[in-house]
Amino acid sequence: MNDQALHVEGLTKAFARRTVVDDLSFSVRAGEIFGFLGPNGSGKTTTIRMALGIIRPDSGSVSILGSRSELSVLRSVGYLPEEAGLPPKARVLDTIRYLGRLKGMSRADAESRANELLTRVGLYEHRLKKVDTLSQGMKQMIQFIVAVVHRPRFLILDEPFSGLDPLNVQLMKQILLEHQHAGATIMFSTHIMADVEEMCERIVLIAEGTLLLFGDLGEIRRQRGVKSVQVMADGIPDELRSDHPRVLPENIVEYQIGQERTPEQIFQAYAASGIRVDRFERVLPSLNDIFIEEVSRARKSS
Amino acid sequence: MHGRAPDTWVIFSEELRGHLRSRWYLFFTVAVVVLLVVAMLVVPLFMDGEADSGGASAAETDLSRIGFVDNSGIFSRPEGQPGPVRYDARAEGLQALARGEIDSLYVIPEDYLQSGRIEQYAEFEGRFPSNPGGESTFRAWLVQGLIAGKVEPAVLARVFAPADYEDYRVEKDGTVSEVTPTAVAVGGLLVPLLFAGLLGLGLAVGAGYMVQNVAEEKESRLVEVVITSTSPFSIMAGKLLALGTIGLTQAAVWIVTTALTIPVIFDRIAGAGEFTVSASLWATIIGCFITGYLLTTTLAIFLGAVAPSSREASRLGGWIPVVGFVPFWFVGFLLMQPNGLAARLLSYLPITAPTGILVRIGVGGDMAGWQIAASLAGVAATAAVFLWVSTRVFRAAILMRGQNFSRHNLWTALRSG
Repeated sequence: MNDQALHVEGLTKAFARRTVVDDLSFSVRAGEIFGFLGPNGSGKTTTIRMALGIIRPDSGSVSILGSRSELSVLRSVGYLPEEAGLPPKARVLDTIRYLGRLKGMSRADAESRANELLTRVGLYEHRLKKVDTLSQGMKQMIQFIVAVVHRPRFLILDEPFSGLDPLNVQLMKQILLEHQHAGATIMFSTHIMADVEEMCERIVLIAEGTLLLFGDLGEIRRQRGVKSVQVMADGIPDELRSDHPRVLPENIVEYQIGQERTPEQIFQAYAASGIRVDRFERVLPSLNDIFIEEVSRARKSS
Repeated sequence: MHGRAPDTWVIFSEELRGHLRSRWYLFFTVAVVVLLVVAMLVVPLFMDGEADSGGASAAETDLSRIGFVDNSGIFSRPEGQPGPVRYDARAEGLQALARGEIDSLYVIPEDYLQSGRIEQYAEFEGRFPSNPGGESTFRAWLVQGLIAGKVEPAVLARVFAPADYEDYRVEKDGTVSEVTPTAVAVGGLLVPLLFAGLLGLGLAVGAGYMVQNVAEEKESRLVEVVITSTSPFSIMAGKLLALGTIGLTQAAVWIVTTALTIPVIFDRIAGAGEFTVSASLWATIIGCFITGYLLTTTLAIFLGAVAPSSREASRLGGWIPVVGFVPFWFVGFLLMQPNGLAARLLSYLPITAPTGILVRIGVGGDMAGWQIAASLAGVAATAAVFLWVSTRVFRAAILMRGQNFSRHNLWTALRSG
């Protein structure tokens, strides 16, 4: 089981008779970057809290880094909570050092690593300032530093990119990738599907506390089938004009795929017309499409 | 790479840094020291002035600045002897007063013996005559004039200083013991009240800080990171030790300052005796500080954890100083009945006992050593219960941001831990 950084099995939690997480099972492989997706109020944060032992599940089990959510194990975990906040009157360096020490670092190591990370994200000159003097984005970066200061084996980040400008998003992704290359496992939740497609190998999608999709992101997209076909060619065959394809820049035309039109029919139409084709590409549905489709279906059924 | 420090120590040391940076703490600690040092420097000046003004030479000088008109014919001033300046008529005396030759003029009427009435003329500064001591000095001269030559010199001396009391205390069982000198008595009254007040203020400031500290940690999601790093017990123990250390450091600074400055002040007060505070009183003060901080801190952590927001925490935390100062509300009553029901309640009820004991001792109440120990043990036991409750509810309460922590939540948390 050591190849799994996190394994949840049959996890269920209800608050005031409302089931927030319902029989949820999934696992995160060691060393991967894993996307934890779901609409607002779908139970992501509750699941993360149960995984970290902050709240107890009503039923089900959690295994994190090969054992139960005990403090000795959790010290190897870095956690960035949703709506991250820091004590407004505390100084930046003090806060990072304090939490680094609680994760097992010596005072000197925590301070030195904090300075290193603050320099990396361009906040070194703010290290002696009080938290309430910083911007929202700066606070989010400080909270991120708190999560990674002790070089955790497993990073759990709840909406890590919220409130950040594109440069800081890029910087945070870069630091995350460095941690992955150093052997860390990363699981993060977000509403920005492009970030998941860029960073994650596997995902889990939940809604209303139940699992909708879980597995390899590429595989999930392939299973959904081809969404459209994009053709870069010198013209449009007459046979296909009734499809009202979408014309994109650079002579690219996109055909929607459905029960009445298959990629093979489109290919044959071009071949028969003698129009020169520079590129023929089957387009898989985006994660955004899948998210909207799956969540909408789940909401209708509930 | 250094070894890993225990969580409680980490929390203790980081919290301690936060407290030590608190402007209120530094101001409050230093302000008391400064006040005592200033009192040490200033009080003797007043005492010296008072001593000088009471001396024989000063009396002579004062008399030369006093004028009088005797219409009764009783008083005469022998030639060559010190005494007030005699004028034949009021107008003459008033002119001397206007020229600044004298500070005050006393006109003795014909019916003085029957009425005792004397007119006093002096310039005024605001509401008060600007001839300090003139009235009492002239009164002493009048007494001398009335009875001089009619009684023995020793009797005359005794008229001016009729008694130098030596007090003895009679116990209920009839035994007689010496009453402590003034300084010791004041030490016994002032020191407990002083430290009760300081403890009340210290608890108010320290506990107020702690309630806010916990509430802010709760309001930010930082606490989720903290409780995935260490146990609620370590968090509470670390905070408790930090605030306790702060309180005891404060107490130590104040005790040392008091012990050094008060004797100097009392040395300058004639007849006050040697200032002493018994070892048992110091021990009681230290005990009250330790248990007071212990109980109030656990209470503050509990309130900070269950408060739905930092604003609400401020409101809830506002009750803590009230609790600490309740014994002071009844000081007037306790002075009359230092061992009455109210005094006993305030000194035994755990929530009020740390300041209640000191106030009761200050107003002269009798508390045996074992009674004080029992009361403080009760405070410590209550603090232990609060610590247990707080540890159980801390995790559940701290996660409920923006929600009220109901009795149902409390009961569930206590059962499940």
